[in-house]
Amino acid sequence: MDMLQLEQECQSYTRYLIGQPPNPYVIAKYRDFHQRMGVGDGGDRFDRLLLAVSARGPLWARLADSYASRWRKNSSVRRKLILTLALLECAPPSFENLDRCPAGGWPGAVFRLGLGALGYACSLLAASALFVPIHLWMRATER
Amino acid sequence: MDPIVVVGSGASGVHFALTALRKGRRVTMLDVGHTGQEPVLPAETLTGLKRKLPDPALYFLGPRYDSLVLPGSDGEYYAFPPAKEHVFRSQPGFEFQRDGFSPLYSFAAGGLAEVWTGGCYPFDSGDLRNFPFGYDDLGLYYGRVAAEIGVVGAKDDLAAVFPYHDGLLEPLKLDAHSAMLLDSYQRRRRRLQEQFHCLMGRARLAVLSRDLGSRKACDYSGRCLWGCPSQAFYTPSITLAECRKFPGFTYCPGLYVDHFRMDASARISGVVASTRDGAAHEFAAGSLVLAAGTLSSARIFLESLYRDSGKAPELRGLMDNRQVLMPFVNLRMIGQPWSPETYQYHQVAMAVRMDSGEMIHGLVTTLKTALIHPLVQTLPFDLGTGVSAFRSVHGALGMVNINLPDRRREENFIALDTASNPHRLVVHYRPENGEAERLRRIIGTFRKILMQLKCFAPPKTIHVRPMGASVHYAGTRPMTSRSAQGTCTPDGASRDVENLYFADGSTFPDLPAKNLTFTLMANATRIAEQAF
Repeated sequence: MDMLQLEQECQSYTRYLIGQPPNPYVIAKYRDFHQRMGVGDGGDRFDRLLLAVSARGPLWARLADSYASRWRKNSSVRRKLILTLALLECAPPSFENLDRCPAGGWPGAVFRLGLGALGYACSLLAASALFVPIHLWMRATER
Repeated sequence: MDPIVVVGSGASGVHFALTALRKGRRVTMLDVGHTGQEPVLPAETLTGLKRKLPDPALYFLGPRYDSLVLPGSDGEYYAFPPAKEHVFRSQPGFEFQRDGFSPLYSFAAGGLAEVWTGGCYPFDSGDLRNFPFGYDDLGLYYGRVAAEIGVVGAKDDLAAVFPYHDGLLEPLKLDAHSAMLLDSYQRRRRRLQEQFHCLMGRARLAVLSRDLGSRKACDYSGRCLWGCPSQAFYTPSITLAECRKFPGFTYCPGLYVDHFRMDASARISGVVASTRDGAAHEFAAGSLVLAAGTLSSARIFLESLYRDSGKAPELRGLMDNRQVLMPFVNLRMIGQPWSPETYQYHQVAMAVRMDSGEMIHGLVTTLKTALIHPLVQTLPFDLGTGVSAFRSVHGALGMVNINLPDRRREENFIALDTASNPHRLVVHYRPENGEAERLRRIIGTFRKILMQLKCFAPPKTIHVRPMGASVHYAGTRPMTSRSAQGTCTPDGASRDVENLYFADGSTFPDLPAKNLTFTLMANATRIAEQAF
């Protein structure tokens, strides 16, 4: 198991999910999970590609996740992102970040939700433009 | 005189035992009795735990990450916390074959109610119409149990369907979201009652709003889901500890009861139980009280009959409450902050009378400290957007746990597969014809009620739980005044075997849409009081 790769994934996913780097505890638990429970070893070529791309940084993680959220809900990248989120919500100081309701009340929340939905639509569009051809090519060459 | 032998330390067993002990009877309780860990940092709030535990993920997700809900799981919105892992620890020798039913069972000290959500909803006269006694007979025992365990409640609209009995404590402080829901109800009360026959009010809960004996009142630490560290929230292990103070009580944990032996006159002469290493022990019993829960009691009963006669009948009439989980967003709470330092289980309850006449019960839980990752992954976004959206709507999220009634039907049964080794319990269940249409109407009604409360329930998130998930199993040895084989007397005495009593859900001839645990306790108390 490549520990450096795991740390890169954890770094990328944490920055993507909460905009901050993970602390050493979260990285250690992320590695611990992989060592003891394993995740994402049984995916196909495209699954492994999404995983490799997502570890490159938060922007890539978002693109891979956007694509997976629509077309690959149970993929390794999605599972690893959920694991990261579960660790972040248990541990200080990230749980406080996740528990905090942003200021602005109802209007602010509605604005943020709208902006978030728009951002997701753009990200999904970009991710689809990037990954659909690769996905199709991989499926075709696998036959 | 041989003692009363009680099998099981769940809600029924401990309340039966406590009443019998107070009457001066000797009681031996046989129990597997798995126990969990002591509460960690008991003085800390939930937030304090996350800050101060050296390995918080170990506490919240478990040593094997069993509380982590990854994509592709079974559709539940939460997993059991690691601190309660012992409640569902398996027991060698107890095996079952399921057919249309997903049974949950427990061999923990305190039984399944160690992980209950504390709802104490008494059956009313209508609910008891098929029981061989009425509310006038049972009401006294609701009051006694409430005084014993501590139950909070208010005299509000729900008193029309949940009788207001003695022994209730003043309600807990409401969290902001629950308060807003009740405020919305008050504003539209007349319309909700006229259009939907919907009543709402404060939940009846087994938790202390003031000190009771050595137990302290709820301190709103926010740790309810993870195991109340102060015992303000009631679980049967508290009554088990009370029983153990009596000199006439013998508690025997680590024993798995396999069967009872009968003499030539079909009278129980002994109870056979084995330790984990397989060593068998036999206990003399003046009377045997099966209070191990409907499934485990059925297994012991069937195994005993099989050993005695070579035959094991099917125990018909198995019941369970179908449950539907309906997550919702309260539009008035979007963008509002929330506090983790509140009571975490449901604080609001609903009762809806459908046009068919059946009463449906809803438990409204506002989301606060439950882990968020199982929910965020269900949102129709990528996780980054989902996390961001979740922070804005966290305080606005809630869940209605809708409970449907069930009735005894011959086609649902528990049997023993004697061809397997060890013998397996066979649990067979089929829903009533037309259930899909019935569910559609009920779900539609609850969505409309939520809309009246300014709440939106996204259709795709509504989850119909499998049969067996509610753990409200009942009905295989019903109490009746009519003398008939395969039944119990109104005092829980078996009409098949002398000196055998059932004190758990097996004896219920009907299953209203209410958590049955409080009635289990009251009925077990009544049986101990009247039959012994």
